[in-house]
Amino acid sequence: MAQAAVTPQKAPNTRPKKAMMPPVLRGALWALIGFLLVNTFVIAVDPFRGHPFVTGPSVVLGWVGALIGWLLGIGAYESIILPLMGFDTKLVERTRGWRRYWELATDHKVIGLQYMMYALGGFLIAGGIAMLMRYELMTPYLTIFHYPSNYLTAVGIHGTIMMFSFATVFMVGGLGNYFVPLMIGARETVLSKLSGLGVWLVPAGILTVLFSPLLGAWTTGWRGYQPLAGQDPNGILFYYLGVFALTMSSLIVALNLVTTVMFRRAPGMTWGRLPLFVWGQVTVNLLMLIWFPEIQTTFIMGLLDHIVPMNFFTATGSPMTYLMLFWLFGHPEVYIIAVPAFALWNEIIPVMTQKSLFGRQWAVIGLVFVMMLSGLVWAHHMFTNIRNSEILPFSFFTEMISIPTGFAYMAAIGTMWKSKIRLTTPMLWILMSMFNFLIGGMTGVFLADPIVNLQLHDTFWVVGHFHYTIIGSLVFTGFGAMYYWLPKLSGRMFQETWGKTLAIITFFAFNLTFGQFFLLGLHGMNRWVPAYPSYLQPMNFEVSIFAFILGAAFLANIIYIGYCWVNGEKASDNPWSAKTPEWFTSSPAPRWNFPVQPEIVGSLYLYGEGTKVPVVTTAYDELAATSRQSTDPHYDWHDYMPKKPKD
Amino acid sequence: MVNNPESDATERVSEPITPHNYRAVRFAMLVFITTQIVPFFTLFSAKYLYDGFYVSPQANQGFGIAVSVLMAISAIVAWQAVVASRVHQDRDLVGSRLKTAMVIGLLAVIGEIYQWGMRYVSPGSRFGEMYYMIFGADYVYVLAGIVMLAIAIIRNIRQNMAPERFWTADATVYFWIFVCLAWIASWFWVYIL
Repeated sequence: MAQAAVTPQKAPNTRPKKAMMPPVLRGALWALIGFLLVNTFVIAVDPFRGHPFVTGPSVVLGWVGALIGWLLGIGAYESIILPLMGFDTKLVERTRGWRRYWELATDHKVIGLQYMMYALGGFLIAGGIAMLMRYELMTPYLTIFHYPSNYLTAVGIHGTIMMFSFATVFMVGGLGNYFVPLMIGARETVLSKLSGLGVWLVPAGILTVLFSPLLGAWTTGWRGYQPLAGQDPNGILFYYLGVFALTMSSLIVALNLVTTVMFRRAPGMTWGRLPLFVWGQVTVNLLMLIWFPEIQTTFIMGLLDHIVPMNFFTATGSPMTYLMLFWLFGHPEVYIIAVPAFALWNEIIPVMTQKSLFGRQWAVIGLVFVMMLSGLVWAHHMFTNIRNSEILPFSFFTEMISIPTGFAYMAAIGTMWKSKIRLTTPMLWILMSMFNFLIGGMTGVFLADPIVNLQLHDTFWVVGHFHYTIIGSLVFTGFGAMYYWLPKLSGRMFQETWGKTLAIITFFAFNLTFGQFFLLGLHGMNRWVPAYPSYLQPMNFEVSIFAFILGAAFLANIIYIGYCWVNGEKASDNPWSAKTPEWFTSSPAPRWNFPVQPEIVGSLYLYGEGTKVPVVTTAYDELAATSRQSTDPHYDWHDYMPKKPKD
Repeated sequence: MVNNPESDATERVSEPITPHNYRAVRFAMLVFITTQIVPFFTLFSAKYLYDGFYVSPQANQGFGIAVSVLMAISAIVAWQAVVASRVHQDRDLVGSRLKTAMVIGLLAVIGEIYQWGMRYVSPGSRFGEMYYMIFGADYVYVLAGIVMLAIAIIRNIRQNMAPERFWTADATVYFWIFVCLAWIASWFWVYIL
């Protein structure tokens, strides 16, 4: 294979001397103008709504105007619209400095960090709200929330931001955008401009959901349940709109990553050699491409129920249809969150054991089957709403899905078996994550049983179960991944003592908080209530104390990672002796990822004596140096390939 | 005017797209379009759940057919723009086909707006709710398609779309054909089934 692409040596473009308004500031200004223009127009032409300046229809259409203004102001106008229509643009993308993270970028690494930054912001906001909820639940009567509807709004904002702007975004938008191209040996993504635009939908979505109480309390939780939503004031509209923006962002990520994996793999990076994390990303991206348009359509119907009004899902319509449509998306969403974590377990464990990955094919098959089965279990969220005869198949498939999930455990345990485990901080987080998810999965088996389900429905048992599966898998694995890839992201290392200490504190705080949720549930503690029988107060009080410690532990980890990012010791390029391609370039990776196009010549998960280095950067560049294509990073190595002779 | 990318050094040209990148972005566009079948599948399912295969006698069958036929013609004309770019590499022909497709599409939309304005179908009925919901969704997609067509036309006027640079027109046509097919499917589901 005679091709290579070397890093371009063009003279750097210079930015215009005239000072531009900071893009975020300009975006906010244009968003305000967009909102005022459209809102005022709707108020002027809508003769049925009386006098208020902001009405349901006006705020919805005004939000659309604001979103367009925001995206144009942030840089889409110069970077996308003008070139698309054939006009000149003077915009030059920054390639260094902190300001590049606050404007529209095309470098997947910058975009990945932007996603991580906003996901982290969402995590802190939603986590702060969780602290308020736990503070409220320390007493059996209302304290900081003066009305139950205010508490329920807080629960809804917590769940919505956690699910749609952190859980979905961090692993896929953040780690996926940053590492998938590096791990497949690509030099950039296919839809880099669209990807750069999509990230800016995340802050728009978070702020929309966060400010929803301005339009009135909403009581539905993150699920937007009907017919409650139909009775709520206009705050629910910002729930629908915020989720729409956030899911649209994730849809763009999915489209970009799937296309990139299809078309930008390095020479030799066959599907059989694809890293586990990339497999995980591909499977969840396919889930997102199927189910996100479905939930967006459902939410638009719910929104029209509110502002037209229609009667699709209201009390006089069919609330059951909403439940079905929501959970058709809702359960795959759980696996959108969990599958990248499963993949990361088997990404990190072979590295930390320096032992070949056990049952690699089965690990991949497990991910794919979890993806396929996840669309067949939705009604287990609705056992109290459906007939006995309808329960059985969903109970069956729910129990079945534990089998492919078990493949991830099988591969991980098989790899660790009789190995010399390096119990580093990332490995510790992964082991903790596996333990937590096991608890979450086992308590889920109880819930899959209809008889038990009918007893435990809407109790804290369920809350404990899904926090174990989501925080247990996503957040713990997420921290493990951050510690694992910190040397790659920043070029700096952390101290094992600090990393392990913080991991252990977090683990105990997490289990002492959510482990007791199961007991609370068995004792009769209901979800969705800020006031409860006084006999539950001592345990609730104690749980809240552990929850505060857990919140502080998460914060301490984030601060420590941030500290090491800047002040940590310089790390070597491959401190873990890993074999995946991201470790075969400098840390952090340069603009086009690899100085020359790497080639994959062996399995990425084989360790031991006699195994060869799987990534080589053979210098074909002397051949390519004579061609125009070699200096163009947009020119893919496939285009160097000699054409097949026509028969 | 047949394109010649090297003919005029002063003429504005769009960025070239390599063969592999062309396949990649075309794949992405087709995946995106496939995902946009999901909303219509959801809406058609909802129509069936709420209303079965009932068709209101208020629905004006003549207008329904006329609008759908116009959309079908618009899709065929739009595809000729792709043929014009791939086979003839004729920039003017691409532009004229795009403009014609847009005009025919707008005519169809005006027909549907007329139906909405005349309130043939009562919005207060189950059929009416789904009728306005499904065709309302079609309007949103048509609006997006019209914007894309307008952008492609403007770009075609301003730039020399050399043979390897017709992707903007191609992408627009792919999306517009999806919009037309979605409209025809909506007509079939609402007016016929």
